[in-house]
Amino acid sequence: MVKEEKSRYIAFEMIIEDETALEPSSVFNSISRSILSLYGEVEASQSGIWLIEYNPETCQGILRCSHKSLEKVQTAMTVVSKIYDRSAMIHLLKTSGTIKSLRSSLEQHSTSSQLFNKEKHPLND
Amino acid sequence: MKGSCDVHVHSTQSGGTSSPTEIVEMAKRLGVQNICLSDFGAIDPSQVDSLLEVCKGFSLTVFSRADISPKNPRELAQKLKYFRRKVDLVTVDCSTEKICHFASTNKFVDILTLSPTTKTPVFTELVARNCAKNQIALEITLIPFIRYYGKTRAKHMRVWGKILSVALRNEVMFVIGTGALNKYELRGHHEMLLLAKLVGLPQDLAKQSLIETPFKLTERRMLERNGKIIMPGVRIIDEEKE
Repeated sequence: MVKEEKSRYIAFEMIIEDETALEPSSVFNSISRSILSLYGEVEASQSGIWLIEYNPETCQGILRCSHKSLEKVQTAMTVVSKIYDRSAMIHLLKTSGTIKSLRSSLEQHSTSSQLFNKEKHPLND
Repeated sequence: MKGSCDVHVHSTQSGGTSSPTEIVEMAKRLGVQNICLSDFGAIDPSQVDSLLEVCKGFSLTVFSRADISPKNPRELAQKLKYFRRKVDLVTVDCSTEKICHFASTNKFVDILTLSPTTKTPVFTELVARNCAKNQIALEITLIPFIRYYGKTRAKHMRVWGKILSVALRNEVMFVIGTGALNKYELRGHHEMLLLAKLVGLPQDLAKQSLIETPFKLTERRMLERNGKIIMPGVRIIDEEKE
């Protein structure tokens, strides 16, 4: 029996020059372009990324990816430096195996910039 | 002092586009607890305290760092004499093999920075051995991996792969800096670890380079600046306090 591939959910914050409100499609495109540029077409196809939600007001969103590609997707998100010729960056807030726990953590921590420091992270193992 | 340290950040004082206050605010937002402002090679070292005063009130430690880009070893020796005991970290940009070799043998140097675009490799086995012996760290600047893409980024990765293999063989210390010229080029603790791993630095060493090594270096200079180390190997101990 073939097991279903596990997913991971990444909460992130978009920090952009002039605080410009971005469309979710622009955010998704910038992340997918970054994966494509850094790791190539094979990894981009295997990463299985999907933007679950993005709030242009808070500039926070949740991205789904394959658990095997988690680290590569995070790295690709880290190297995003421009969107539409504006300086931008993606700050990783938290990673979780379920979207429910991710949402509850985000709600609990309105000042979410310190989330990674409190949670277990693959790099902290 | 604890937490991660970004050892290479520029503000408006040294060619950057964000003010020191903006830099410190963003670093705090990203969860970076310590940063080194690399402005002190460009401004008068007597202004160190006044610039660091601006950054107070953010519950974040800001260290002063002077970047020296000499044309020859003689100029480097003069500048080292000038910056000695005035800043927390002294960094030398190694553009030629001679400068790199001279810097690696000088005990007033804390960090070496390399530009991987130079045609001849400057970070040789001899330089690496000297760095390990004199406790001089090699900086991994992350900005090329953030700013560039395609062939340029691939070239940087290839060259850094070679530099790291020499450095790791000789047990050289590392520090990690973004080299940010504006606040959007700063990265948080985990982002810096991910990028260091991308360059090829092992995970444990990356953590050590981000947390322990910068403090080891700054502590050494602070003791000198406070006048507690009067000459190599001789430290004045306050018996009442210690």
